[in-house]
Amino acid sequence: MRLLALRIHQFRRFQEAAYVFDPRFNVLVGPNEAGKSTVRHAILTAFFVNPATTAKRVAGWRPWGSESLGAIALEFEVDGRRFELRKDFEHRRAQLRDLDQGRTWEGTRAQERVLQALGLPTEALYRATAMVEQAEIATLRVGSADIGARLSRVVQAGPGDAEADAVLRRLEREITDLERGLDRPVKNPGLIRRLQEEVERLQGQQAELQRRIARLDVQRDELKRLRDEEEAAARELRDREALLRANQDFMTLQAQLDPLRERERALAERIGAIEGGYARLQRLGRDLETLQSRGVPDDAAMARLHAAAGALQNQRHEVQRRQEEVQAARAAADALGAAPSAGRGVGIMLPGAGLLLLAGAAAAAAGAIRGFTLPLAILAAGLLAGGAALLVAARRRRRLVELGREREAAVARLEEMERGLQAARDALSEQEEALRAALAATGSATLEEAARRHAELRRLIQEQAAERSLVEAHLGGRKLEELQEELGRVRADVAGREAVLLRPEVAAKRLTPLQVQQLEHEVKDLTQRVHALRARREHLEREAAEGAPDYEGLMAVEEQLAERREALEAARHRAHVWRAARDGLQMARQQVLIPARRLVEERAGEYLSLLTLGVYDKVRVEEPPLRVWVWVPRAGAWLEPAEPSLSRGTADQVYLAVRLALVEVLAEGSRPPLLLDDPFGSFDQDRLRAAMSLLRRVSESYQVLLFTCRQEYEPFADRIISVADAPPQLPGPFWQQPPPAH
Amino acid sequence: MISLLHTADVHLGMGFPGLGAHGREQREQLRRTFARIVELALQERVDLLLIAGDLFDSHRQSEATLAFVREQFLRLREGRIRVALLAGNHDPLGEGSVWSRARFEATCDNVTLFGAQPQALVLRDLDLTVVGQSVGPDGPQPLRGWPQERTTRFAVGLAHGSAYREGVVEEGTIHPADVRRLGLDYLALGDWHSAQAVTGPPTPAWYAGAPEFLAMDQEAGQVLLVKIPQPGQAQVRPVRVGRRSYRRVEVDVTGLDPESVRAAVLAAAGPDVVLDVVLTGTAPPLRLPEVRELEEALQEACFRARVRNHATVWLDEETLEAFPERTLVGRYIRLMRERAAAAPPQERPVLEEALQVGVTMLLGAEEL
Repeated sequence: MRLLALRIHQFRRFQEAAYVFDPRFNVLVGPNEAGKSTVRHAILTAFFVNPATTAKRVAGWRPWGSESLGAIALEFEVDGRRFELRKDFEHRRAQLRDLDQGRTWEGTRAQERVLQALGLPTEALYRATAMVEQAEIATLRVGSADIGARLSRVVQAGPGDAEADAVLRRLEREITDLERGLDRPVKNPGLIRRLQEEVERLQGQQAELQRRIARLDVQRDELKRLRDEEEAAARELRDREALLRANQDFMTLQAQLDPLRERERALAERIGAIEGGYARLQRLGRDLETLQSRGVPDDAAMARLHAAAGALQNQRHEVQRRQEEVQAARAAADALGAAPSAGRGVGIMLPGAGLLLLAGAAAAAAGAIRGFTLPLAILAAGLLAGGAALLVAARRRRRLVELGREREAAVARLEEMERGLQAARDALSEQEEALRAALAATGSATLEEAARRHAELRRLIQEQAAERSLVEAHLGGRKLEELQEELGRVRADVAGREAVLLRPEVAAKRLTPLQVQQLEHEVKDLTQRVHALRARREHLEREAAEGAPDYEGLMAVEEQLAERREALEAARHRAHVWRAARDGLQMARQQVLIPARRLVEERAGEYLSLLTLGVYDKVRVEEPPLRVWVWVPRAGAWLEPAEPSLSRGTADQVYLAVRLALVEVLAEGSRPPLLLDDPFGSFDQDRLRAAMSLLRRVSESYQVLLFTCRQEYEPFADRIISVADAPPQLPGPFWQQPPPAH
Repeated sequence: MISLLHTADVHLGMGFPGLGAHGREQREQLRRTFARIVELALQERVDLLLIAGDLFDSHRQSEATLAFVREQFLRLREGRIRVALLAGNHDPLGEGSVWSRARFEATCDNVTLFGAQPQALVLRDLDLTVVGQSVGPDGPQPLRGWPQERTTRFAVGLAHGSAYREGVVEEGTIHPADVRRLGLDYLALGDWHSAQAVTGPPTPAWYAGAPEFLAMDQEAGQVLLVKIPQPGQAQVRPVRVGRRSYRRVEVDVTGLDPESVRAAVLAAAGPDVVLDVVLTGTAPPLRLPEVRELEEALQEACFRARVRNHATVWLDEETLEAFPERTLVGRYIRLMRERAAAAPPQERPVLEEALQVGVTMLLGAEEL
């Protein structure tokens, strides 16, 4: 960078000022208080101060008597292109214009461009390197941290450290944007983390959908299985139920068959009985006819015969009885006739017997009371016996009387009886005759025969009646034909049922009752099973109806997932590539960097050799902290440039050489103008000449602005600018194009 | 004369992971293309629509899709067009298959789904025998045990499987010699997604190819109209029905600036194009193609685009002279080349790309 012109408006001591510079060696000369420091300050302000700053010091730049802040315009040239920088502190504006291409930058962008062109990004660094204040040559501590920080960041030509820095920052930024949040949770994760989270989220959705679909697939399979199972179970149930019904029908048939058979048997028996009865009735009828044809007493006749026989028998009995009575009466009468007759005295015997008995009793009682004595006892006994005998005799007499009377009665009776007997005998004879006649009428010889024949008749009649009754009973009010017809039907029923039961297919299905019972249990179990299957199937169908498999949803998620994975892979790849680029760039930068320290040492050594005419030519720079050593041949050692090791003048030479070397190295190809505020106060003439010679040489690469109040520098200058002169009033308003540089 | 429309590999319900958010849209397009096929069949008044397998991409189909297919079959039924249909290796017959759920033949009496064993369908009114065999649980068994005697004037067949390719060993392939031996007037094949003939007259066998874009590197989008005026004289005409097409563009960036590369790529772009771009060749550091910007531009211009950058940085001595080693760019280029040369093969593309990225960034950094 080479300054071409400076215009100052209302800045510190200047209302208006303008300076035009030579691209090489400028000496700005003026007495103290002429404004030299103001000009330096203005240049520094143009380089480093942001007009938008609210720093209080800016207010101090207002010239005395001025109400407003000023402005500074600095025209400079970089690599053949001209630029104009304007900083208006009143309006807080900064503007940089490319006078050749017409581009414009404002504000901080303008400032960045200026610093980029300057090559030294801070005022401190500038002051520590390109700007040498009076008696501060050795003051490298000012900005030493900046110097140290930049010593390892130097590149020769091409995209320099600034560009590398910018690219590295960009790469870091891009890598950070990609990788932020990978190692720990952050509020705003980078792209890779976001993509990872998206992938995880989509994987979760995919898994959930897959689970749901799998569940639905399982449900569907389960449903199909249930349907098949239900169908099979229902089929089996139908078969079993059919078998059961068939067997129940068989059992019904069988159950019907037995009573039918019984009924058939009964009917057959009944009909057989009826027919048998009819047969017997026929036979009986024939027998009756036969019997009756031979003559047989009927009941009446028989009754008469029996009555007659009975009467006859009675009569015989009567006769017999009478005979016996007669005999008995005769005997009795005979007996009565033999009995003695009774005497007199019956009337006295009885009372006398009584008195004897009483006396005997009284004696016995006295004996009992007073005790028996023998005479008393014999008396008592004798009285009693006498009484008793007397009693007996009385009784006997009475009886004999009675007997006599009886004998008379008996004889009367006997005669009566004999008469009766005879009557009875006569009656008997009549009856016997009647009987014989009756018997002859019935054709029987004897009553027994008649009875026999009558009994036969009765038997036959009874039998017939019984038979008829039996037949009637069997008929039960119906006709034989009806019964036979019914039998036919029953037999047909039986035959039909038997035919059914005897069919081969029935035989194949026929089960025993125990098996039927088991089959009933089976059917019951199967029915429950079918119901359970149906309920489960209906439940699953309802569930399935609520949500069909979302295949489309799953596919969409999988597509998104594939896209996110691809993006994630691309982001990871990008991060990988950028890391490789960053690492490569960092390595390249390190490799390209000429270690600044070494460069400083080389350059400083060159400059020192020029300054000291070859006496000293080796400089060593150490940092941190920044320290300088110089090889002192006579001492054979590295010594710090300070008294007493080296003179102040030599020390200043060393530091001048180091500062000039630092400017070259730290500006990294940019060539900021050197502002020197008469730093050679301690130099003698030889040293001064050597210094000027060096500055002339340096000015081929770096513009030099040497501010001094002395005139001995003027012979070395390409332009001498008198600061003491009234600042030239350049025509036109401040923002006018300044006069072209020469 | 017999008029046929031959298609296969519709792959309804297919997923498109490579299309990302456009997958759903393309899945919808498969349906629309199938409807378009039905329209074409009605329009051409063909006698028979042959679907040689893989109508469905899998058994996992929604009821809506099955209803849609049924609706299409009924449209054909109204137009008195029969359908001869195979199950393919993506939708084979078997328990739990989409066919057992859909039961098309129960509602569409114009549809015949061939079983897993060779089956002959005789259409007396057309004097045509159609022989076909679906893929069953055991996989493709093409042309094995097929009947060779014919009782009608015309005879065509349907099969699904891979044709014999020299040097490729596969089970169950369809050998051209077997095709000729069958003596069919036409054999409609399915399985391969690009249309091509396996045998020529008088026993032509063709893959119709997929009627709609399914995947990269596959030329799809058509069906075959087949007219057989006389036995052994089948005439095959491809008809485009698909909406989206696949295009592969290979651009040699050598000697081209990034703008020319971009223009060449965009010239092949289109709203219904699935574009597969491969950049090859070499470019100097200042002319490296800007792949990301290209991808972004293509996403707007195409249905879907993929850009693969196989171009490398041109680093001859002259180029390197422009970037001396002492400069940062020069040192960076040389360093990355050294690293790439020393790196394992799988790491080299990363380092090459890092080289390009670093150089582009360094040279693109603004200067005052």
